Amino acid sequence: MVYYGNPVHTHEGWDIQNEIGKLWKRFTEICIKNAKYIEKHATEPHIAYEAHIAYPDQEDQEYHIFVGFKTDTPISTPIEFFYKEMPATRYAVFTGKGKDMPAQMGKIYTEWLPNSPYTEAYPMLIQRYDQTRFKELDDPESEIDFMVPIKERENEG
Amino acid sequence: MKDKRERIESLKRLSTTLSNIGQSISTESRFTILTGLMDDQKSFQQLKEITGLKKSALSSHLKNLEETELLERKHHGIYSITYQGYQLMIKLDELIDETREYETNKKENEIRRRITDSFLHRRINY
Repeated sequence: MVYYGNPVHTHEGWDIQNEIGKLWKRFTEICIKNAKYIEKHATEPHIAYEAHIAYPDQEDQEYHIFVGFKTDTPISTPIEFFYKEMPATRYAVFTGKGKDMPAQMGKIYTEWLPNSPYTEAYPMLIQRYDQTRFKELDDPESEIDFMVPIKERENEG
Repeated sequence: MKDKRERIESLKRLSTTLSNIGQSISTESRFTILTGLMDDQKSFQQLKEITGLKKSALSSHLKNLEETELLERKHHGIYSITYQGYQLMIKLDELIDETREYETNKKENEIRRRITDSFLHRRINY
């Protein structure tokens, strides 16, 4: 399932439910309704993914966010679902845990990537939610894997 | 559905009534009496066992709840929660649920915002 826009745009009043949360809510409801179908088609039914796809020259806060599960078979039902093929590439995988998760994730781009022999292969970040390690976002024991698509940096000299 | 201004005016008119209701449920014993009556009517003796109160204290609390129309005496020694009392308890429970959900959403929103910002504001040297 997909959302395009600014996922954390400011709401009026006290409505602070953001668009990513709403997307997950819809996804979860559909998964519950179609549990047997998903069990059959998902290669890892206990793992869900959230892919953020932006653009290198992007100036606004609007971009694509996909949530879904991994499958080897193109599927188009339930009707809200669609099949998206992700590019074959290497991923650097980092595990964030607890309340420092956003800071840990930020360091990937501010510390690890600039000091590595790699650069971003695609303007994309995938978050992997494994039900055995992730409960709720504000749970101190919850873990999320951040998957950064990488390629070797071209010679700069 | 009332808008914010109508809601404020309405609450101003009801301030005395609401203060009395608030005062009425402000003690744990009276709250226990009301929750004890939510599933079914109870006798004085049953309420005495539920609350662990002495006879005189229980009588005083029951009288207070009757005066604010949260509870009524059906017949000899049998007490029942009123429609108003029942709805008040339901609304309070919903309020607590909604507040918890709001706080959870607020925390999650902040975490998502920070993750999103880190990704969007990354500087990549291709």
